[in-house]
Amino acid sequence: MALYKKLSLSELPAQLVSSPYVLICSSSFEERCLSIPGRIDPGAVTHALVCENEDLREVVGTNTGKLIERFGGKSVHVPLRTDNPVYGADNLQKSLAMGTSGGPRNYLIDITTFTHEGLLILLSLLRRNANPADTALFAYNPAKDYAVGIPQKDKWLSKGIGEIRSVLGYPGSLWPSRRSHLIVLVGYEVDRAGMLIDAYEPSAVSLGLGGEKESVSEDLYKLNIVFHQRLKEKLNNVNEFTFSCVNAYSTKEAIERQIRAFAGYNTVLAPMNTKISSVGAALAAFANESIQLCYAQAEHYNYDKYSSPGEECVLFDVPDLFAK
Amino acid sequence: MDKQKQNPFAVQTPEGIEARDVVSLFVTEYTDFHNIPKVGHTFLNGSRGSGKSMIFRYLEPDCQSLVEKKPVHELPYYAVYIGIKNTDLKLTELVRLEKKHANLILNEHFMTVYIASKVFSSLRKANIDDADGSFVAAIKSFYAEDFSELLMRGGWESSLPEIGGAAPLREFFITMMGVLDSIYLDAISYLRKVAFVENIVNFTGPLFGYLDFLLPMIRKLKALPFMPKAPVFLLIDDADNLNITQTKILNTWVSHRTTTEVSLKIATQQGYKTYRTVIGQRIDSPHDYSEVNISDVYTSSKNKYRERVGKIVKRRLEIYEFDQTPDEMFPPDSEQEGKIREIAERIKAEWETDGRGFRPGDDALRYARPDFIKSLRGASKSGSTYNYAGFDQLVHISSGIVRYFLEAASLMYGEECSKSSSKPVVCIRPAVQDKIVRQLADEFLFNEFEKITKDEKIEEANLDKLKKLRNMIMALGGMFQAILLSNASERRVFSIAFSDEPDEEIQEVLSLGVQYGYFHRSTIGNKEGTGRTPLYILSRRLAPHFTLDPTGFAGYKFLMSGAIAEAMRSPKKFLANLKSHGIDEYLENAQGLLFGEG
Repeated sequence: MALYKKLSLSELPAQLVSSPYVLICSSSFEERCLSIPGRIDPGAVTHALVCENEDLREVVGTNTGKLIERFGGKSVHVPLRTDNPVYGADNLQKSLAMGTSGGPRNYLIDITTFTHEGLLILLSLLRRNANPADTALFAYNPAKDYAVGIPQKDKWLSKGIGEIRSVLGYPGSLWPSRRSHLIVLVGYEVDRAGMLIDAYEPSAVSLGLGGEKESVSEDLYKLNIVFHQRLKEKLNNVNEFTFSCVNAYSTKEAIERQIRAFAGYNTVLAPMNTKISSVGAALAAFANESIQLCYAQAEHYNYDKYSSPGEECVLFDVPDLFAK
Repeated sequence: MDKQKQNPFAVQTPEGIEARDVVSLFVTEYTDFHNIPKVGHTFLNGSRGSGKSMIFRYLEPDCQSLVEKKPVHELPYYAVYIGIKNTDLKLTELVRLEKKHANLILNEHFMTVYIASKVFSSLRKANIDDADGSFVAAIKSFYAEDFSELLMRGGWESSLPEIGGAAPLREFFITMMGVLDSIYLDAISYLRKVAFVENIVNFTGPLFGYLDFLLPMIRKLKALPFMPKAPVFLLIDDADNLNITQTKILNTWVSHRTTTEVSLKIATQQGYKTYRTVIGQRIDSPHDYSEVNISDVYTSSKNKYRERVGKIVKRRLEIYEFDQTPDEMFPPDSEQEGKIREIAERIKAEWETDGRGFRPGDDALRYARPDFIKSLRGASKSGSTYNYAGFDQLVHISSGIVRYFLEAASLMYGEECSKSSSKPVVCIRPAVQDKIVRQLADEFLFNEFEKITKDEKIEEANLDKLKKLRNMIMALGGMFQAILLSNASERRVFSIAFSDEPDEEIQEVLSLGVQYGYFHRSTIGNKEGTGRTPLYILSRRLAPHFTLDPTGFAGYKFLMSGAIAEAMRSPKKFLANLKSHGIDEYLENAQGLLFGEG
């Protein structure tokens, strides 16, 4: 039975019963990157892999320093790059191999502030390289608000779109003779989603909306509705479905249902909602290798006002992540 | 569904449009269309939405059969559509192969098998009529002999599926498509293995290339009775979506003298990565290929574009059973146009004493609308009461891209429908036209840039390229507005050119602007009269944001790069300097004035 708990951040240390852990986290310009690691006793970890997108060092460097300082000699700096996923994947892989003594490991992964692409690559690496006896506990700190202080109608998280690419490890199986079905798990980055759909020109588009009871909070659900509507108005002939923003397995099932509705199409999936739903996207792709995951790099983030940390934490595991 | 209840301006991906509808909608006049279906390789360049994919769709055999009223085997050419979606061929795993010995071979294998599958996909879609069964006999022989032999020569070791004796022609195409799809998927399985491995992983599958597989396959197919005895065109759409290795491979194919058998028609936006082949040679026009630049049609002949859009809109209105002409469907603000006409008459009457142009009509054209916009600012202290309405203005605002016109029209129609409940739409009211183009102008600008807040610092250290581009656009938009409202002899200015050589930073920012569609790059005679220099034209889609007159074309300003450097740092300071020094004085002497201020 999969673990799934919603608790306050202050209750987190008591939940970490399988220590010592190998902690994996990602530094960010968001203060949320400190929420969970800041509550973990350094004594409860053997290694802390602190991932940092070094091309964003100007805006993430301060928090990287704080994370490394917290875990001291147990910290392992893992350089990633938003413009070079292969570079990041190689560094992650080397870091994951460090200090293995052959025995099972308990991973504690703070998924909060990884990029969607970075998280998906990490999951693929863990699945490929981990020991079946390993365990993985995922932690996520939901935001209290996004685009903080900006009126709802003007909220933005990122601007512009850079490269669109398939996520390393999830090439899918796209038949040249088939039409394409693009599924977007829509979040708040409506412009980025719209530009992705525009650039892709799929034969069919499915927009996923986080379900009301499956959203992080009532307020964020209402915000999501606004953004979803904004995107729909720009597009013709879209199909809609709901998915869970807070339960990876539910997300996986919703995606699978939507794919079945377009049997015979090539499926390209762009997870752009919560990181929990991105884990769900990865699970769907692990179960069905024909799904390609894609990622649209943002040109520019709202660094100063991106989000404010909430007071809660979601803890969950994925029991069959390491099953081969 | 009642035709009139549907949106006549809805934009669809050409791939998804039925042949009958494509033939109804497509307008061949006023384009360079007739230069495309000729023997020889062609690059078709144009922004997203300029109509490249629609041209390709129209060339496909199902459409051409309807146009020519002939069966496929009597057509003047056979065109295979090969759309390259963003993540089809350019898989991230292929990065692993770069700088490794098999990089070229594997990328070419990928491309070859992908295209070969599309050839059979096209034949399946062409719905070739085989009433007497003679075509099936031919394809049977091709399948069992030529196709089988080509596959084996490439190292394919499996057996071809058995096809029943009574199988129709189509089943052979589907089977061959399936075989090639399966070979393609095997190659992807290999890529899955290399995704997280830095060392070389052996590839043990078959390998196919352009010269040893694709060309011979097409040559053999051409000889079959259901194919026209005519050229084959491979229509490669969105070639910008190839990675750099694949682009070089495609260029190498272009460099081969194969045009009597196969001509490559390659559609690109501004992102085509290189014109070099795999051995580093450059392919050139007209030696290796001809070039058609769709957006040049707009900048070189505005009437042609206007007429083209007019025809497209007229066709759509007819198909959807509207009686209105494009001008009637998109009427201008009659009160506004009436006032502009009055001003025009006054200008003509005063030309004898105050005229600047050669003819009264020239002055009326140049100054009537700007004077009207100026008068609005004086009266209401807000230029925003100017209405961007009327078919002509909407055509100009679309900046040479038909899709922009149609997208705006589609939103306008939707808005009218929502306001008029069940009554049929007889026209798009000027207020609705204006509202939508203003909304789109703001969206176009702020899709990439955050809105400039009131308390934004005037000068920022470490501006990134995006912010510099934003500043440049705001500065130039403000400058063009200032010129419009001045007493200059040419007030409808949308373009700039440099009197000196702009540095790398400025060029990079301008390139980014062109890439995003904020500027169009053309050329103009330089000031010295010794040659030509780049001209950067601001997209007219932004005209509503800066309250500019979108109908003028001739106006441009030469300026020193120092002025643009200032604009990139601080648009407010740039505009203040324009005001204090005078526009021409500042633009031509920016370098000296900046140092002088030090």
